[in-house]
Amino acid sequence: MGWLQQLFSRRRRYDELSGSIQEHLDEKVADLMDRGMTQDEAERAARREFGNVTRIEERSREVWQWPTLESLWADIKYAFRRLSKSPGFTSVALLTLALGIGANSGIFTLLDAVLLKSLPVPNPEQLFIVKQGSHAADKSRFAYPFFDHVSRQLPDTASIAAMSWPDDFYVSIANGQPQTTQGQLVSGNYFQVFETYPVVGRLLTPADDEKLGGSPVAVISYSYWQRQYASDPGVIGRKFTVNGAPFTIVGVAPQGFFGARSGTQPAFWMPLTMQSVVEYHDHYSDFGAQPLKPWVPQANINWLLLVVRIKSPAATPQLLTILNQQYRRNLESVTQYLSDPEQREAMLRTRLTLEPGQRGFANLKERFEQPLLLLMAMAVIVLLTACANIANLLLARAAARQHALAVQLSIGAGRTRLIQQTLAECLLLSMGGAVLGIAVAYGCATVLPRWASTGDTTIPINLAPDARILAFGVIVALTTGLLFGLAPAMQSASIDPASVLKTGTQSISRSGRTGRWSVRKMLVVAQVSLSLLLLVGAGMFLQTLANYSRLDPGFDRNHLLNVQIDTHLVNYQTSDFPSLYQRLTDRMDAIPGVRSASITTCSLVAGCLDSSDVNVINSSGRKIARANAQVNSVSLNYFVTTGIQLSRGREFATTDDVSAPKVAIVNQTFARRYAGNESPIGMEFSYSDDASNRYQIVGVVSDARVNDIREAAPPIIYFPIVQNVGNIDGLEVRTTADPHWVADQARQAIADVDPRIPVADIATLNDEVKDNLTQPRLIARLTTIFGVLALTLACLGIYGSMSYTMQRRTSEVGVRLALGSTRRAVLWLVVRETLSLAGLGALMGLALAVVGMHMATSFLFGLSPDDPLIIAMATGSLMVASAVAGFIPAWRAAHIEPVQALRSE
Amino acid sequence: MVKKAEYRDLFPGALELMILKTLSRKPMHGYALAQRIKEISDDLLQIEEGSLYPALQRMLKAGWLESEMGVSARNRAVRIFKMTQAGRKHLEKEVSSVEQMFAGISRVLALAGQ
Repeated sequence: MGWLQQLFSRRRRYDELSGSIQEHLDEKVADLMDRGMTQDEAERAARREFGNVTRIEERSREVWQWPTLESLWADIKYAFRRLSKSPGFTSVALLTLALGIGANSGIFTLLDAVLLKSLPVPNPEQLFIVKQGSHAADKSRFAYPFFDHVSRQLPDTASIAAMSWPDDFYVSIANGQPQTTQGQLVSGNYFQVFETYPVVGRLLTPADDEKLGGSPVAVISYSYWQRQYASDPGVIGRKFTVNGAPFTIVGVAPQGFFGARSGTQPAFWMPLTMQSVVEYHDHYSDFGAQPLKPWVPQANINWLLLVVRIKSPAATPQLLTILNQQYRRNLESVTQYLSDPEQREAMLRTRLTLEPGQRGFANLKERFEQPLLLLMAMAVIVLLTACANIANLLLARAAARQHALAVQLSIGAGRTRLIQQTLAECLLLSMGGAVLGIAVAYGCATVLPRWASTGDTTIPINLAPDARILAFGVIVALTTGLLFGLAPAMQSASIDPASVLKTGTQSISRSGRTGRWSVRKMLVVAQVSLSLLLLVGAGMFLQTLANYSRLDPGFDRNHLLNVQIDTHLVNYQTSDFPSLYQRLTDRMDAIPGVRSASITTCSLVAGCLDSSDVNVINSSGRKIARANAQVNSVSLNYFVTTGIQLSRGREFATTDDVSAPKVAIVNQTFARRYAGNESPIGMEFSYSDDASNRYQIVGVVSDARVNDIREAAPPIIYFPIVQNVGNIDGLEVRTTADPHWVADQARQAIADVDPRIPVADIATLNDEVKDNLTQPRLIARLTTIFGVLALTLACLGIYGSMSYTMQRRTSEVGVRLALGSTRRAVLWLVVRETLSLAGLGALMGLALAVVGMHMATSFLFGLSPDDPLIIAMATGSLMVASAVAGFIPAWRAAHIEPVQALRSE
Repeated sequence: MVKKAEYRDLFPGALELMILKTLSRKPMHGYALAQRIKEISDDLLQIEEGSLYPALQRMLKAGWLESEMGVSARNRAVRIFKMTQAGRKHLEKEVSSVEQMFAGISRVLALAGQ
């Protein structure tokens, strides 16, 4: 008999079975009555000799069933009925679980996207990044000729692609206003190495690499195609300009393709050979090269990241040999520029290795790994509190069901079956919570990147659900269910039916759960301690944020405007610059509401990282230090405009012109680190040992957090820009009024001076600083949300637990009142118990908080991980909240009518 | 999950074997079967009457038995259990292996102490 047929004929089987058993009993009764028993006696005797009819029927039926599965199904149906009978409990539990599981899955989705997900290209595990010695993979840059030589020698089973860093370009479509748009220079075989195919048109091909500057074609990204061209297939052949150079669109890349750097989303890709045409001059290092000439033919200018695809792992050793042979040849020609023999030796020893490139360059990982792990830990804590809460509610329900359970046990239900029943209820709840949690997870995963992004652009992050996220959700739901189901299940199994049935409904199993520290109370204590951990965290992160916001960055950020421009896109001659600087500052100064304006080559807080190595020479002409300092060339009034204080010496003056001796101002960190105990004023420094080209230090200014408000000031050298002419990064503008009002006029001013100069960004320093604080703000905000959530759950737990206890002690309270106890004394009795629960929880929570905050020290600023004030405040608010939660049951207990309480016994 | 209490005093399959042997003489209904086994075992084997039923169901499922309607000694309509060809084969096989087993046990019991 097939199992299907068996399944359908089962109903008949069962009927026959009960039929046979009934016949058996009837025959037996008849027999016994023949022997002289009364009907009553005979029936009892028959049943006694037969055994437990229900159990036997059940066991006989099981022959035809998959007993485990079917009893589970029956339990789930039963659980569903029970849950729908108490909608209040069910909805609280589901909501709690939805929040808990949802937050966990949402944060895991981000974790997955940032740390675990592979690049959205075929066979990502075949990709490797070429890594140079101890450099990070994305700092391992190579020259074009190196790439070219290597790619010619590769076996068929391997291929190599080269790319620049994704960078911002000024793109103008149909002669429109130039827009800052992210683009990337890539080798012709780039898309082939990534095994990517065009949606429309063609992708780049190796033929695009053939002629220097001869292939003005571009592939655009799918989202750029949607956004700018409304997904028009006729986009092929259209033209746009990149930094002024015309390009023709030849194709559209597939949806979701972003290349090898997660967290970046280039809108278009151009052949590497177009580097000089689009004037790409970022992210490179050179050894005696000519950066202003085209980079492609130069072997001494490193600007390319290399990705290889290895189709058969057997090719790996051969590939490494080819790479290292070629690299060695390169090193020999490069190291001749190094005068220090030790440095040369060290450099010659560097080797190339391959780093798995399955997840691309670890760009987002560095930025978000730590914060995401922190958030994940907090979400897990919230989920644990939620579990404790639901466990508590379930325990209360189980206690109310004692009688029913005792009856079930005494008519033959197995204890395992009772456990299974409780667990079925828990799993049903947790699965329901998980399903509802999907919405919460989705919300988390979309809102968090927006909160974590600076400015208007959201970090592009691939949030599509994958098998890992699904598995995570299921595992979390199951674990949660088991976690909160364990205690209630154990309790239901440990019931002693005889004593329960004897004493009536109010009794509780004898296994000690009525004692002073029952499981329920321990759960409340756990909840309280976990929520204190989160509250302390919230307090500390909020304080960190406040400390950052109140921090004096060393410049006066109020009434200050950053105007960032790109002069290198206009081909100025060196002789044009002095007058350009003059016109820019004059025009800016003329705007009503502007107090002063100054040129800079390194805008405040925008994160410019130009640095140089110099030799510091003291007044007696001795070299005392090799200094590495960030450099910034500024015009007059820079320090007045930005509010950076002069602490010694003098500011730049009009006399520091081209013909005057070269001067510089350093900041205090520079002075402290490199001038030692001497006064740096009057010291000199030079770029090389060559004595002719020296700069004299004429002033020292206070330290300013110029790169990021969260970073201490690096050593900085300021030069007067007239002695150091070149392209500039923008202007700092001090206003008397709200700087927002000046923004439009500042933009106009740039256009008035030269309409060819693109404006990259105009923002007030206050806004820029706010952007710097995105991450601490996000962490503070989420910890606060989590903390309040956990506290609410803990209060619910306290309230529930105390109400339940008081309900059970109604008669005791009645007796106390009847014997003359005051209501106040009863009130105190309950409040005292609440406070002792909360107090124990707080003690444990304090231990947790100290350990936890010490682990999170890197997220704190301006306070110690055991800041007593914050810990005291968090503990205080926790105790107050617990007292309030416990007061309601206490008040209720104190207002019991003794007569009624005693009557109910 | 469910403990097989009916094997308390017997070896696995013993109850089935006795049922088959009893039914090999003639088809019977449940009560008669229980009475018969009790009688001939002289109450030496403690079998709960009800424990026949799960065993009967297993045997129905295995195809060793069939059930059909018939009449009892009191002339009531009852379900009669009948042995099938497959049941007969199983019985023969089992009986010989059980006999072998008992012979073995008896030998050991008789000689092991010497």
